[in-house]
Amino acid sequence: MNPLTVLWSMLVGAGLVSGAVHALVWLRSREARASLCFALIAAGVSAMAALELWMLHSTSAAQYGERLRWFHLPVWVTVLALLGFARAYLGGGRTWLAWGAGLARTLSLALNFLHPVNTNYRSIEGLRTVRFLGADVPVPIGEPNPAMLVGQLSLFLLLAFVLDCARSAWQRGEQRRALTVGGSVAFFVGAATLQAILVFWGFVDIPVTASLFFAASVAGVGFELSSDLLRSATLARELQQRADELARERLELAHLARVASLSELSGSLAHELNQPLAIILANAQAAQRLLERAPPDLDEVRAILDDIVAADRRAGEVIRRLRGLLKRGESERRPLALQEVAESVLTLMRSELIGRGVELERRFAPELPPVLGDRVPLEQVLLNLVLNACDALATAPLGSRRIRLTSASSDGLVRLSLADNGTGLPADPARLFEPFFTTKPGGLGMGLSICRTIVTAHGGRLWAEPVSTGGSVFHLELPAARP
Amino acid sequence: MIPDPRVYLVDDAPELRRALGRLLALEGLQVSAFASAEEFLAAPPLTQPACLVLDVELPGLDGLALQERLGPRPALPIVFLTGKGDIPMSVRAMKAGAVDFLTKPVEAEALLGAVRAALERSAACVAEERARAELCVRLAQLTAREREVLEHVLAGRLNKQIAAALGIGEHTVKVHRGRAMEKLALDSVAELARLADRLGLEPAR
Repeated sequence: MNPLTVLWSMLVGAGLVSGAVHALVWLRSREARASLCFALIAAGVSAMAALELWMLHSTSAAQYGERLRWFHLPVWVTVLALLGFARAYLGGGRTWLAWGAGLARTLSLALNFLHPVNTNYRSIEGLRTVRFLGADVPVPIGEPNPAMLVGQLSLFLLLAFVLDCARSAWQRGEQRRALTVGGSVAFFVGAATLQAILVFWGFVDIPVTASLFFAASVAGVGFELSSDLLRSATLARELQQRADELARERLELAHLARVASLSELSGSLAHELNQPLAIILANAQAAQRLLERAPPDLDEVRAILDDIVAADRRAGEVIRRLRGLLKRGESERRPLALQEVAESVLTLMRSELIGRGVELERRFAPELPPVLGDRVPLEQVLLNLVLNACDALATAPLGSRRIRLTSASSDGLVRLSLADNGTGLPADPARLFEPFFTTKPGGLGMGLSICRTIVTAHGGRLWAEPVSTGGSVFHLELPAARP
Repeated sequence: MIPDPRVYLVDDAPELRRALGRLLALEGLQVSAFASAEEFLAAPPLTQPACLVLDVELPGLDGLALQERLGPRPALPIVFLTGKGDIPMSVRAMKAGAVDFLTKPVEAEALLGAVRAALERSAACVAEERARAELCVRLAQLTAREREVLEHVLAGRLNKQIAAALGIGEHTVKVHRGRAMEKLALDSVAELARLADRLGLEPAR
């Protein structure tokens, strides 16, 4: 195999590979028009190289003429794609130049196929063998066709358009782009144009090597495009890292808010745990005394043990729920019964509500559909809402402090509403959900803001309304889980 | 031994009422349990020695509020139980006369000790009350003259002086004085002086 065959085969392969890479980029993101154009350029150059190789292996003048005629098809594709690429990647450029180049090239292609031989030769009398790059290759002997002026005009117009585009990119401050892309395309298109003129008008005796020049410009552009790809990959990675960091910080913040809410409840939680412990201790000591008697009342001892087991389980349940809330949780969405989540929070808050003299009324709708949610953050939202309601009730006279929890569902939404007859809302209730907005002395103003973030992340809504008879109502609405 | 002592137990958790009830019953105490302060207040008033084992954290009227509502009642001492009590709370309860302020979980011995102390206090109080009531009954049996004579005795006067002050014979004074002492079951002037306060007797001027 001669070195020309090797080199040109490599050109074909390289063109196909880089074309395929950018075609994939375009398929992934359809707005990357420059990638589509580049893929077409690479494919065109690859086909040009293949046809040139075919021409180099011609054995007759007729064969050569025919192969040269087909050579113009990939040239047409490449020129149009270069016009598109220059516009998409560099921007600017006079539109009439692009139209002129495209039309001239199309006209040249039409003439090429209308003419008996091709657009370059009126006739080819024979082939001569010349030495080129260490190989013997055929070159045609024939009469140049003036129609090829149209094709060469198109190349000039293309060159002008690319330079025009590069100029506007330069003026926009994208000097690097203008130089590498505009420069390499313009230089090699210019070189190919010059060679076409010299070869086809018979000034030099060498074969056509347009694909070599175009491949060089493909390499130049490809280099720039790949560094773009690399940059965007780096950016994407950084973006992902930031997003991860943000998500971690959000989790951390939510966790801190939960811990803060729970520390507010610490006295009541201690009671919630001390109560079962007191039941266990008193029962156990009663059993010890019973067993010292003769005969011991074993039925009573059995009843005592049952009570101990029940109290122990209750303490375990409190600890389990507490641990859930204190955990630095990764999110996990699963179908949840919203009422059950509310009950779980109310279990922990039972003695807090008693201690604050708040009466709780539940009006739950039967048969609510489940919601898709992350249990711990939703518990946090409810914990916050109940604590806020308790605070709003702190100044109300004892015996009239009421919280009413209702639930309802409609149109694929599940709603939980928490009403209190406390101090009510500020003039603009929407402000409640802004970070650092607080109505409580010593409040951080983060609670409701975090709650809304949590609910929004669940695709739901959280809002507040005044109650006409005094107090406020907070609505938590979440989309029902699809069965 | 205190006669017929009763423990009133107020806690909103039925399991704890049951458990503490068992401990107290094993001590031979009668227990009446209530789920709330309101329920306890609705129960009929008591006459025998008793104490109140009272949870602080109650729904509705809480333990401290109930103590306030009951007012000072020495015959019904209170032993408080709390799951989250703090120092100010216990100080408030003790100042208002509580016998003890115990935190849950409570040791049986601590609770029973406090209950026993409370019941003794109550028993003493009840006995005192009974003695006073009895004395009052006796005092009511005195005639106006007998009472007048006793008031003069308390002022340290001799029979002769009393007779002069009241314008009656010395012998008559002696008879009144003897009957009055008999009615009050007193043997000496010293005993009379000791009871004077409780009887509401003032020395004559």
